[in-house]
Amino acid sequence: MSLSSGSNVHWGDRLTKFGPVVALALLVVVTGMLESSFLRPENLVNILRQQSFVGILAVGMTVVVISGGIDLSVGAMMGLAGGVGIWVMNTAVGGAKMVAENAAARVRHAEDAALGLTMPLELPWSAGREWLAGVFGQVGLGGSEVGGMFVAVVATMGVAMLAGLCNGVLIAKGRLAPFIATLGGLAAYRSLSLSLADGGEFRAEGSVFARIGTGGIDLPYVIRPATETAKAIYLQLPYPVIAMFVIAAVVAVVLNRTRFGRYVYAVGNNERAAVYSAINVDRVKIKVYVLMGALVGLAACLLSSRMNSVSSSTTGNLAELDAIAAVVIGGTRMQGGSGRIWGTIVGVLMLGVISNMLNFLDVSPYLQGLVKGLIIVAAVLLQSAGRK
Amino acid sequence: MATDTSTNKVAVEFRGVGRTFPGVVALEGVSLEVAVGEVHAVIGENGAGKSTLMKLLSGLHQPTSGEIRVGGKVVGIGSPAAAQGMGIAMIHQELNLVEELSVAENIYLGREKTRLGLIDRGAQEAASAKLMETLRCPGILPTIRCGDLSIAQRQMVEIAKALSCGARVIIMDEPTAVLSVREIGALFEVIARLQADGVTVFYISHLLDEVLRVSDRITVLRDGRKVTTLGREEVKAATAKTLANLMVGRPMEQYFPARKACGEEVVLEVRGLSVGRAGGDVQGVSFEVRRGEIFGLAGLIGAGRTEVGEGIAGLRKLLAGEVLVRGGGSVAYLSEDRKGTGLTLGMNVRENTTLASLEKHTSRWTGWVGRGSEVAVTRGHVESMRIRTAGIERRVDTLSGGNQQKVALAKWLETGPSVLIVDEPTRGVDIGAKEQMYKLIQDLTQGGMACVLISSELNEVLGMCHRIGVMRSGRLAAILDGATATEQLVMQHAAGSMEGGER
Repeated sequence: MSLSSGSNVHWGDRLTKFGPVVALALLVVVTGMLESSFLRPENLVNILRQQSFVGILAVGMTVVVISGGIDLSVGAMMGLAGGVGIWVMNTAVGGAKMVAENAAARVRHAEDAALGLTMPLELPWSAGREWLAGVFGQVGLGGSEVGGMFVAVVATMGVAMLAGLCNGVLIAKGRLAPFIATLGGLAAYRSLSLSLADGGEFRAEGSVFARIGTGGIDLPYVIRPATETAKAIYLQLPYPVIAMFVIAAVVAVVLNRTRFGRYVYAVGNNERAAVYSAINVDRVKIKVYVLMGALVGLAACLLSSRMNSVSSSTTGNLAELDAIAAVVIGGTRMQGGSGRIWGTIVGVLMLGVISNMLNFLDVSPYLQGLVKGLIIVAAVLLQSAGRK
Repeated sequence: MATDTSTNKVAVEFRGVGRTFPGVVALEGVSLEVAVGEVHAVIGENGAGKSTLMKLLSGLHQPTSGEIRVGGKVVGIGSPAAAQGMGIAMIHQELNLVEELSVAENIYLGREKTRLGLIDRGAQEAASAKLMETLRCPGILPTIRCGDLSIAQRQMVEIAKALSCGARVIIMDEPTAVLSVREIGALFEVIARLQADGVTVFYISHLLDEVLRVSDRITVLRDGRKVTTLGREEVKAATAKTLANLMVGRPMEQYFPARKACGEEVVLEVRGLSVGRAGGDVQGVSFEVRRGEIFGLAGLIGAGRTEVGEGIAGLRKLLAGEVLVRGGGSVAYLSEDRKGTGLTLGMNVRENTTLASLEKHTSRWTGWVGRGSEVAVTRGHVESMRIRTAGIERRVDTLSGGNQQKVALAKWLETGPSVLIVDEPTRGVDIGAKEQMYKLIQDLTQGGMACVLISSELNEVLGMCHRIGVMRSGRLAAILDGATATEQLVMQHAAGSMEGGER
């Protein structure tokens, strides 16, 4: 009698399982036929690089969704964490100089005041920042760009993990619906970064930090029209792309092979049964959101380093939706309890290929959202049809 | 039940009906005629095909062979809506009411009475009140929110809804599984009244005493085929035992394993246990369970048996009292709600088996779960408990109820308990699996465990337990000796009078 669950289970299972891969392959082939330069290695690497930041977020989002939650705050969190990182780095690198300039300005202002001139005193650096610059100077991190890079990474990761911890505690201990808790986070984190940058952007000073996001590993490849002077041209596999794949692999192993991973599935599947099985559900949830935060931090480091700046108003905007879209396309159940990382990665690549294809085909950027939306909906329709 | 046998018009007829699913023959060549105004029970073990048969009638599935006639005409019932159009309604085990809507709104959901395009509440409520009148439950006011009704009352709303659609054939799937003794009596009165009005009732149940009490004729299915249909006279002569033999296909000689002696050493001591709950706290419950003993907790639904079990297991906060487990070891609680709290249905047999004891398989340093040891442990349980599954990597929701229950039990055995609390271990489980479950529980207690068996099925408690604690409205009313206790005695303490005794 439990046999009644659908007559084409196998067919459906397979469709749900490999549908995204088939769709991606189809998309690549079709695009390649329409536009041959699409298949050039440079272009493919370019797509990978563009998608790597969202890809890292989407890996974390997969874990969150499998646990039965959602995180709407990741885009804003990425903006805030990246911004704070640059802010802290600038404080470390240029702090001593700025503090000296501020001091000189204060002296001048005092002299002016003594002469009866009341010019307003405008100092670019606040007292708190001057203090932080002092601390960096004392521990030997001031002035050097390498030191700056170090504090930037630490600050970015720290802010993001702290924000993730906030989300997790609100959801696990505060019993808030994940949608609501992280919607609050979305508003709050964005507002914090706007306030910190006064609505402008965080611009990194120096060039060492930029190496993280712009560098890569050289891969030799030979251009085909082999002339007698054919020599190896190096194609660079960017660090963010490597990071995305490594993170995906590690998280996939964690999900499928560790106790924490098993608990994530159990909580997403049936939270009450997990409680009855003596699983500390609150702790699992908090860990999930802290992991999400850590991955946001990583993506933020790579992104702010690559761009060398973070806009307080736009960086990371709507990234949460791209991440969720990739998770959904990849076949993870929005209700939680089932899902897989590689599906998400396929989803991420699909989104990248689509926008790349639309650019090649000269589709108006205004219409690209429509196509993307249709493809997301189609992917989910196909999967739910497969489940029936 | 009294019926006018002269109206021998056939309401529903199955002719050689079969249904196959890929790789499985769920139903084959079933022929059956049911008269207008008849209460017809369909019984069989889980997997025998009774749900499939009813799903064909209610339009959820279509037959792959044979034909169904309703009112003498061959019909194709393509959907539940089509079934409704033919006057066939199914009352599902999980009631399908919208809790936030009122009784009247639920009854007319999807078929709202309207005036000028707006819902005519007055008319709906008047009609609902009238329906409730005919069902003799005028207490269920049309304006009450369904979420505020008891389960039994919701069931009445479902029946009213079916009648308001003009149903002439009503299918009831395990309607008494969640009802108390008194509520069951009320339901049977309603069924008799429906019957008098010429409504045909298909009655599906595991509880054979009930089936005998309520039905005119009984069809027994086994492995997708019809074994027999007992006529009116045969039903009068039949006993639960003859039905069970027909269902299983062999005589059930010893339903319960012979009681074995238990030890002297007290393993579980419950002293003055009080736990809070909505609708009256459970207070001052004290008892001891010895090594190898099966201690029964009987009582009516709502008497507080589950709360005691959860209190002992530490799943509920104790308001007062203490629970002592002597000689170390943990307490395992096999919950009554297999789907809600017992199992993680979306996970496979292996993952469920190890879920509560995953630390045993986890490397301390990496958090890595050793698949090999998980597989070995799970295989062991599948073999020793004879869990029927296509493999340990199959999702547990593909298993039958009895086998799911065994997986849940395996999960708890893995935690190495010295006290095992089993709450309604055989609910929704067929007879063969019940027998196995009883044997398992006995083997475990013989191995030195102390067991608390919570059950609504009196014969189970009487057949299995060394001693029986009877609960009544949150208190332990009596502790009886299992060997000498009778149904009457237990019911007397459970209800505080001599009423009942049916279950």
